[in-house]
Amino acid sequence: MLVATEVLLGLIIVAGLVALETRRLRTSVISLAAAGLFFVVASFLFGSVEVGIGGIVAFAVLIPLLLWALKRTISEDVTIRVRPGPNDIFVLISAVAFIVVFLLVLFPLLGELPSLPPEPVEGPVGLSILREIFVLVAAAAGVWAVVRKVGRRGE
Amino acid sequence: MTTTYVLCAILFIVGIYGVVVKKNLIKIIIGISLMVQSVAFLLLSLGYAKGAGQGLFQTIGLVTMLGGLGVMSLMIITAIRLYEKYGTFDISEIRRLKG
Repeated sequence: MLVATEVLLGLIIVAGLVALETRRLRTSVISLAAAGLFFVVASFLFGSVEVGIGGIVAFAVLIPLLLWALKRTISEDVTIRVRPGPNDIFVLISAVAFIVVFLLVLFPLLGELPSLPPEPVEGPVGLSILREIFVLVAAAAGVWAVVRKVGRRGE
Repeated sequence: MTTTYVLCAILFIVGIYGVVVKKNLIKIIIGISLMVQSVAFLLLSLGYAKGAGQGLFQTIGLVTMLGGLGVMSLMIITAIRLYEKYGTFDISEIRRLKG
């Protein structure tokens, strides 16, 4: 099973590179959707049903939102021919070096993680659901407020 | 398992490449999405490796995914507003035109 998830992770990397390097933005979004699909399948393979369903919800919102954004604006990446400057290369190399050092420090610590975490203290059953609903409503209200502002710009 | 961690790191680097090198706002958002995916995948693989502690890592992975969704939704809306104001997704052009 680990081999299957590693293959899926490799496919996510390929889809991500295609999404970043293609000229047509619609193709980029479709590649991102493919990466999301591979991620959801890998989540189910890992036995993480909640994360898989969360991934489906996340990409079901994100992909139509990106397609809607492209419909309102442009669908072609005109900056694709711009070459990265020396500053970009320096930042990229620094970030990669940081990640490599971070992983080298992290790997020995991963083996020391406890296998059994302490049991979480649960409140009343309905309270956590209410809290989740409140967070989702607050997020939806925020997005609606910004979208409303965008729509009224011409007035 | 080490291969999975290394692949997660490569995916994260691909995301950083998108954020640092690309000049198009949509590509930058896609890069951040790839970084979020790599972190969530790393948490899932850690949970799988730890076996009994999987629930904790699943929860953190779920929070990562949904938190990333919220951030990216707001970034997309902000990108649309920037496009309406400046007429381009090119961040170097937006930087030049600001003020």
